[in-house]
Amino acid sequence: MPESDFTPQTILIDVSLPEAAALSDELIALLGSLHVVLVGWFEVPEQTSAAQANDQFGREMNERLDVLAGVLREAGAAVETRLVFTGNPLDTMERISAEVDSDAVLIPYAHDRVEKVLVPLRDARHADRIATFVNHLVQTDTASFTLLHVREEGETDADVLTPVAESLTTIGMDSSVIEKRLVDANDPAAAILDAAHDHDLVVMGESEPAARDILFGTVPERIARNANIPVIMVRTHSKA
Amino acid sequence: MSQQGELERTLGLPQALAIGIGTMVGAGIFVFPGLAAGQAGPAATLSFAIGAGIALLVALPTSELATAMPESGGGYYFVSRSMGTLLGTMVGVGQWMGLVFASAFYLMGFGHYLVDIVAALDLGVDIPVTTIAFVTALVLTGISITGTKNTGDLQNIIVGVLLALLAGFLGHGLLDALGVLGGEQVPETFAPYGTLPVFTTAALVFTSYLGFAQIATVAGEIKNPARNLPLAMVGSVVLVGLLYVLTIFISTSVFSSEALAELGETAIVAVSRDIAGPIGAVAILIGGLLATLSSANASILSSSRSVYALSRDALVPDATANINKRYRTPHVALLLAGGPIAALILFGRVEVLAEVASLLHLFMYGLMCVALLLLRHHDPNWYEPDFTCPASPWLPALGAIASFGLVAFMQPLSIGLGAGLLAAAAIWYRVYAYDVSLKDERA
Repeated sequence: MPESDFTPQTILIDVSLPEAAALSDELIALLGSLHVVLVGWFEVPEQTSAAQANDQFGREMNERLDVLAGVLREAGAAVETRLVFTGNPLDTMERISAEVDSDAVLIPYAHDRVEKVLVPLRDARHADRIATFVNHLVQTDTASFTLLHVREEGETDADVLTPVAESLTTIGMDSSVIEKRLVDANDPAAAILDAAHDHDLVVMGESEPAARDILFGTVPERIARNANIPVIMVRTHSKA
Repeated sequence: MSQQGELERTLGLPQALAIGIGTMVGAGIFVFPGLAAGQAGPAATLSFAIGAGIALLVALPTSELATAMPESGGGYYFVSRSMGTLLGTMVGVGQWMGLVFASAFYLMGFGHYLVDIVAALDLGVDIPVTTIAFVTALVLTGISITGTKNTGDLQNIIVGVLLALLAGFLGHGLLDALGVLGGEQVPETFAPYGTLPVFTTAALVFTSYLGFAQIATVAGEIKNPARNLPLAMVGSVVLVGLLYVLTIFISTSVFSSEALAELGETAIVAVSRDIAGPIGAVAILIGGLLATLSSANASILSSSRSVYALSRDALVPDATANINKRYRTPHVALLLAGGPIAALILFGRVEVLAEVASLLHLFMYGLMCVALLLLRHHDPNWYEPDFTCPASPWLPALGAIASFGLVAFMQPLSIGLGAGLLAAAAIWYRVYAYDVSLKDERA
């Protein structure tokens, strides 16, 4: 599929149960044009069988998901809910993401502004796809965008940001709302986290989970948790 | 039963194998060699081979049942769905208590290893084995109730370390035993105490094979169960059976049966010292600690799963399956495992603990084989296993006969205790649950 034909359709929302994160009105408005799959996952430790947790909490958790689904439907989104009892939420999100062929995953956080959007880019490979997604999703006049590339030590000076900025302006975005930011740092995750603090939303390409992600949470999860803003991961894996 | 949510299948083949191996490996290598050789001499190798044979005869039918009914609950589920709730309750209680006895037995082994280590360090303290085992039972139960970090990965690492350690020990020991390295050997007749002890020893050491069916109790959580269940069950039995037979062969080559009997539960440490020096002894001591602890822990977790299976069908009060909101663990069921384990440790007869554990499991194994024969005969619509047990009806029939038959070779006290527990389960059923009808009756 050529990247230019890409129109975002399906977005997964990562809902950690039992305490589901709230969605702000601004975020809900962004999702109105999409097919939303609300994935509520309830993590069980190995001492507990998933069936046992389902027996006890299934009904209540489904009710919580339905409340969220109702709000999104009112905003015009087509909503589907999935409730999963799992010993491994990463596996679960990955599996459902592939099953419904989603274009992105949203880790929600209640934050009532979507004005400054941070777009961290590792390389220019999926630039078009991410640019299209950003443009499609955030169509407000007031939003501004920071394209961020973290240059690690020894990295040669390939310009990652310019092609993305160009595709954004080609699509029709005003170049005055796009800021290009190049940072030198040895820990990209920390640099992105740092930049996230003065933004309202992060849109990034997904990354393969590394060992430390399994221990401390994936980079997007950590951003959502520490910067208290929602994060959208655009799926860039080739689709099955 | 409410099916509101999806249940993620999180266990792949390596994890399923690790459950089987991790549950089994603690006993056969690290506790039994001394006791078994003391009873049967070098023919104890045959006793372990008989055990492996019976386990395989049961593992194949169990694989078929588990692929037809990939539900949590294992043996309880298969028997209750094919032979009714009375036998189901007896199997379910047997599964729960069988694992309780097994766990108490593993923890006694753990106590022996810790005592040996304390003695080797020459600290001048003298803690009784039962005290160590008792305290460890309470600590393990506490950790399983409050621990929210998954220890599954740790379990896999422990199993990996153990297998590597054993490969080194067995490889070296085997060369030694076959005379390649020119070590001294102890010439001895194969069965110095006659044929009968070979079978009584097989009955005693069968506890070493009580892990494979635990894989079936988590059938609902295994990815691609049609392929992974049979592979994990048969594979883990074959692997540990091989390890056991080799271990006994090497042990009886290095020491006489009398010497091994005298060394008792930790005889394998002396064998390893003889083969590989102090480093070998230390490695096996640590291995023994890890293996017995991992077996005990796995048994506690499986045991609580059995309580849940019974509670789901209302054969025991609902409250037993309650999940703690804070830790998300089934704290009542875990206490129902940990409490009796601690009590049994105070009773403290290692061989009786092992035999009752085996008896309660063999009762289930035999009935699972019968269940397979019944299901094949009646062939209900829902019965569509992905894996087919070969050589039916002969193989499952032999499995049933062997399972029930092995019980006859146990000590009278063990048989009495086991039969008493099963009778108590039957009485419980008559008093509490006689009017229960299964919510998802298949037949």
